Amino acid sequence: MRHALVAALCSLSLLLPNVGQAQDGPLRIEITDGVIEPLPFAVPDFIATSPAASQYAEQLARVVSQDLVGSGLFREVSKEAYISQYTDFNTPVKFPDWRAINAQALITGEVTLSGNQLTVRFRGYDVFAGKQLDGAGLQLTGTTDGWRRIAHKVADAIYSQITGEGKYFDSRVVFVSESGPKNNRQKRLAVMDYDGENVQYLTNSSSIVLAPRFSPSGDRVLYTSYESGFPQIHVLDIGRVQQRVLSAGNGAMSFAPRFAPDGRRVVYSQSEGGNTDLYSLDIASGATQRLTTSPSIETAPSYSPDGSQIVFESDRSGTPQIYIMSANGGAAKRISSGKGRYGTPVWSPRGDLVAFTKQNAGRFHIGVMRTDGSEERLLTASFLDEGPTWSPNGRVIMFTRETQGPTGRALLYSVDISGRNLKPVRTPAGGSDPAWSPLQE
Amino acid sequence: MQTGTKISLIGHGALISWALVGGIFRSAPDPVSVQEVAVISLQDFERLNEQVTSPDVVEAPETPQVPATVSDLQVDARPPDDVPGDVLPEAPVKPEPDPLPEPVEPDPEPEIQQVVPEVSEPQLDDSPLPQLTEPEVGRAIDRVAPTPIAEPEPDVAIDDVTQDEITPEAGADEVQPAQEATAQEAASDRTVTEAEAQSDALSLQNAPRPRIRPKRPTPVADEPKPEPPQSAPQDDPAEAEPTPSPAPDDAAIEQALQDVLGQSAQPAEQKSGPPLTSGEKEGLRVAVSQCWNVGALSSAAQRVTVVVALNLTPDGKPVSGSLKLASSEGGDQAAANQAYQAARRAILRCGSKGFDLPADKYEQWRDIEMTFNPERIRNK
Repeated sequence: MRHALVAALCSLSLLLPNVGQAQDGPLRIEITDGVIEPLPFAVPDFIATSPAASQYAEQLARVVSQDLVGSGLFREVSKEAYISQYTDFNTPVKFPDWRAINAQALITGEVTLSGNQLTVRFRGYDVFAGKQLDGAGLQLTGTTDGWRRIAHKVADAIYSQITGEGKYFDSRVVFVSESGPKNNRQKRLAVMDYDGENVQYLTNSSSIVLAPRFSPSGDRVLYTSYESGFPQIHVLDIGRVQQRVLSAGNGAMSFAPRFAPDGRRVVYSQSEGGNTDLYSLDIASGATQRLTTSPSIETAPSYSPDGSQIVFESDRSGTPQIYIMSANGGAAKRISSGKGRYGTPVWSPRGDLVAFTKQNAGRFHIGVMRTDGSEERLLTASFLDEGPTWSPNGRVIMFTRETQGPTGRALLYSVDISGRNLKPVRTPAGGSDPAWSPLQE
Repeated sequence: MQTGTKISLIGHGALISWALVGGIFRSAPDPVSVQEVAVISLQDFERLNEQVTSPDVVEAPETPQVPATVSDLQVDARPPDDVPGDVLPEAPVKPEPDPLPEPVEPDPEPEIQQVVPEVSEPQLDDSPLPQLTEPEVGRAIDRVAPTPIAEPEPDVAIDDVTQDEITPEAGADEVQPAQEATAQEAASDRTVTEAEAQSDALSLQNAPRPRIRPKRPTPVADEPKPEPPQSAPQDDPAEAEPTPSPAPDDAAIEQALQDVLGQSAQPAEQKSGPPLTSGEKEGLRVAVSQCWNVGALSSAAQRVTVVVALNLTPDGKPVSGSLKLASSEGGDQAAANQAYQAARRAILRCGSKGFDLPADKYEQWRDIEMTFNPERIRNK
């Protein structure tokens, strides 16, 4: 009898707390599922304060939209769906009109043209909160020649405020422009805006150029040229288009250069007597330091963002794999462990990931892994993908994709680090070996 | 010695002699396998070995080309107006000044002024507005949702809610309001990279053909019947009697009573009315999930779990001013704020028409704390 009594009381004690919890305090629920889709936004044409400014008003809004949509994280709500017509920059926004068409962000702007001076004021709004985004109410001034940069800066401010990522639209890419048939490919250095606009050529096509790399300040480019008959590292001042040989190398072949984060040193590969090792060069003094002494091939070095380590490619284990060592050389630790061959590693600007090229089972991949080699993810697969480069915010990777066959072309592609938003980058001709600049200031 | 014995001895002796001499215990020789070998020199062996272990050159420089002549320099720079007149080549590279590519003038640097234009308080128009369906626009990426959603019919409007078209029937007794057919946008349940898509395609190509007939159902094994209880031996009456368990003392009963009464005795916090059923909670959870978009969040913000506190009006709409970040875990303040903004947008957007909650239990769902944990969706 006593047993039954205790059992009944215990059972009751198990039931009643549920009732008590349901009645006490707020209702608690946990959301663990969601969706991944672009965030809808609206960007009406900016307001022109004069007829002369009207062409820029429309173009600025289009470039802002292209930047945001091109990131893969946003999509534009069609103008045909607008309920409110945006006619005055200072008129309060009717948020219900924008909520009704599911525009979750709204970007408005005004353009004033004075001579060749363009002044752009803009605001970004969180429509469902019914308020202006923090830090998304700015005024930009520039010349009409630089109107695209103004648009990129507007898009950067909106993108950064909504996503929390760093900015990257106002950046440039240096690459090798390729034209002509495969057996007679003409190559020359070119630089362009990140979206393929404003292409400008830096060298002629009389000699082969390879692997251009921006300096941390974005004003110089390292590259490998065969101008002297064998590969040598050159440095080119973009503003003045002046170049010089950076490494004499005593007749040795030097290639695959990359700046240190402080811009004072360069790490590169040098080949002597059939052996290729890594060296670093102090630009000011010209002093070199040998970093590896292995009888295998060490190449494609890339500094960590803090400059303390180098990730590179080596075939010391028999096949090309990825290793990390101190920036001063010494013992290296292998981080790639999957099947296939790994190459061209590049350290992310955030420092958490390494992008690489992988060849396995007859396919080439662009992938990312953590710096300890874990969480490897392959983002692409094709006949030939290679040479990844990171956007300044570490969110997007650009690379070279070459198509198969005698008429195959080399083109630039970009992909989000999630593997989504894989797309070609528009260039006038073919392109290879892209290198992303830091964010322009 | 008898004659028979003699004959037996002679016979056995002859047999043993024949066995020893005749080789009956000798085994036949094993067949000899012959393998032809060739002798090579040490130099040849090293050369062969070197070919096997020689590393492949991945980024070796190509064959040196003939040096370019400076006179061939072609200038193709854009825009053409940017040619300065004072560009001179540096000595180590160019022996003589030849035309060089036009310098690249960086785009003019815009001046940024942190001037926030003044704006007056917006006049909100809360009158009911028609719900417009958004025109289809080009999509850069696939949509990822908790469950896969098939591509809707082309003439069906995209909406968060799926509903059939209703057209008023002529002559009907009861006139029904017209309703446009809507469907949710197509979605997959995970992000498929190009590498995964090609891997899946290869797997399908290599997959065995599906069976035409389904497998026979596996017969359900009979559940083991419980064995009849073993009757206790009745030999010893003292052992046959079950061992008495420790008698529950009054303290145990009292403790149980305290547990029951103590946990339910919270009159100050008690809310009236029955609690929400698990189905009603699930409905609310699913409704918010459909609007929780983590696609536009930074990688750091996608690692933050936030708890959002809010109040609902009696018709199930969120009170926008009541939303606040109760707590966060897994990231810095900036990432937590981005994660909170996404959660807030989800609540406001999907709650704009009012969540479907039982009105008679308003006391139960007036105050809510929603935990947004992105761990599952982040890995899709």
